[in-house]
Amino acid sequence: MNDKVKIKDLNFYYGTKQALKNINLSVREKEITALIGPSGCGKTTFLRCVNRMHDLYPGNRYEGEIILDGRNILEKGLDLIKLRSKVGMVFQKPTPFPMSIYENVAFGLKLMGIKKKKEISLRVEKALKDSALWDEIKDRLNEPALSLSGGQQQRLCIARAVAVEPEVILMDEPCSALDPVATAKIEDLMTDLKKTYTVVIVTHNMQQAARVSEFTGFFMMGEMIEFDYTQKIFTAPSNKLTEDYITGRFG
Amino acid sequence: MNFFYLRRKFYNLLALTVSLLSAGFGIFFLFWILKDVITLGLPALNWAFFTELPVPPGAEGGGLAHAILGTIFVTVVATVIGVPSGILAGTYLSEYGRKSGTASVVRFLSDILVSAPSIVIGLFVYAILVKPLGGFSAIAGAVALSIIMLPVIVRTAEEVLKLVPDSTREAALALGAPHWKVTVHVVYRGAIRGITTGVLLAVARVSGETAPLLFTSFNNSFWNFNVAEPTATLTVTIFNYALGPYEDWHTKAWGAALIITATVLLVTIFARLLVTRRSPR
Repeated sequence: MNDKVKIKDLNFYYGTKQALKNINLSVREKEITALIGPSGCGKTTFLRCVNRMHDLYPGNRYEGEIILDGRNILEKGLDLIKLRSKVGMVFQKPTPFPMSIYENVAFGLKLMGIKKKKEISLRVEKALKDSALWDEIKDRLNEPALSLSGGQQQRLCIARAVAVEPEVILMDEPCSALDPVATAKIEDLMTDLKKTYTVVIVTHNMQQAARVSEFTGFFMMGEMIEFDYTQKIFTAPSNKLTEDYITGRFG
Repeated sequence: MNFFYLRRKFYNLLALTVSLLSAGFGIFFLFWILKDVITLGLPALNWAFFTELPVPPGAEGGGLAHAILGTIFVTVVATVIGVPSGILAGTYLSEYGRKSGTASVVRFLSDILVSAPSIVIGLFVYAILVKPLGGFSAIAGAVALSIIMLPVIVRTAEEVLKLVPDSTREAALALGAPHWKVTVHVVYRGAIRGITTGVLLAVARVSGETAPLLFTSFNNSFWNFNVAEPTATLTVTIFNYALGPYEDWHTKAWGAALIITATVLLVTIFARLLVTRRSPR
């Protein structure tokens, strides 16, 4: 098993405010890595470094290295469009585009320059099947995506992300807006996804981290306190802070 | 205790009465105008009104077909000039400029332009187009109207585009979409209904303008199919006919007023329907 993403001494600043301090961690290929920690601790900030989402807003600054397949993605002049088609993202709230279900999934494929209608529809179907949504919506592909339920919208967003066949999928609290049934479906889906993709998930739900992930990182105040096998973190954490957090003493 | 209760009730009643009366006052005049425009304008409307040219002053009959055509032409050309540039400027403010200094300057200037008197804009176009080109022209009228339309569309487009949540933009960018594709394929699609409404309201607003046309497109008693020649419009015709000495002119002016009012009303109602039609959510 290889390391897909290696983070070395990563510091991140929103303007002058330092949000991440000296983060070091390795994301194992084709595994699920969970990031837990109290609100505002930098989990999401960290996740958004990995696809350079922070570049959208002026004044943000990175230091250190994020090595993806041997290449530092923080270097200047990197093709962000290429990076983002390699590193997909699923957001906290479902973010369907204001178009039909089919077009939502086809959007990314068209971006990749796929022109043949036949190929697009095959890949849309595959993505929707992979995200366990096909059976529920196969008769209403042309309806607006906004007419789906919250859980379906989130699975659509996952389908949209996997349709372009990225290598890494970043998930930012993908279940926080969903009910337990929809959450269970997405968790099942994640276990399927890791056969093909490297997944990094930020979650507030510690049971979720314990259920789905192989590795867990615990963040606090912009620092990574502990990173280890999930089983170890939840049964025998080596840091007192981690132990306090997972046993519910704070946070 | 009881006294305070009664006093509160009294003030409540008073406030309610005053607001009802004020609302009634406004609506009363609106309906009065509508009633007059309809009762006085309707008799003027017949087949000839829409198809024929005016007859010599003092004679009965004829129509205002040339002015109807002129108004349509001037409004359409103003829309063709004003709408794309307005939407693009709004796009700049919402998608690119955002909080930058340039964007706030553009925003501030366009707010000033909104409140600029339309006659000033007419004078401006007179100075930059009519004088140098040596005469009144339909195109000058259209340019004047497009300048009036521009700031309205800029600000509406910006507001409507801003309603599309940033999370949607981020999601599209995270798929590897370049900025312009996100704007065109995702943001515009989310805002299309609002933009259409804004455009319709702006068109309705300029189609009733008179002052900026007085010394730009001026007037004409004949068909005009040349953009470089003066053209008649319904509003300027109303102005001239209403001041004229002939009874038939007055009737025709009311007829023109009715057409404009009805068009503006219909466009506005249509725009309202677009907004209130249940959005897919």
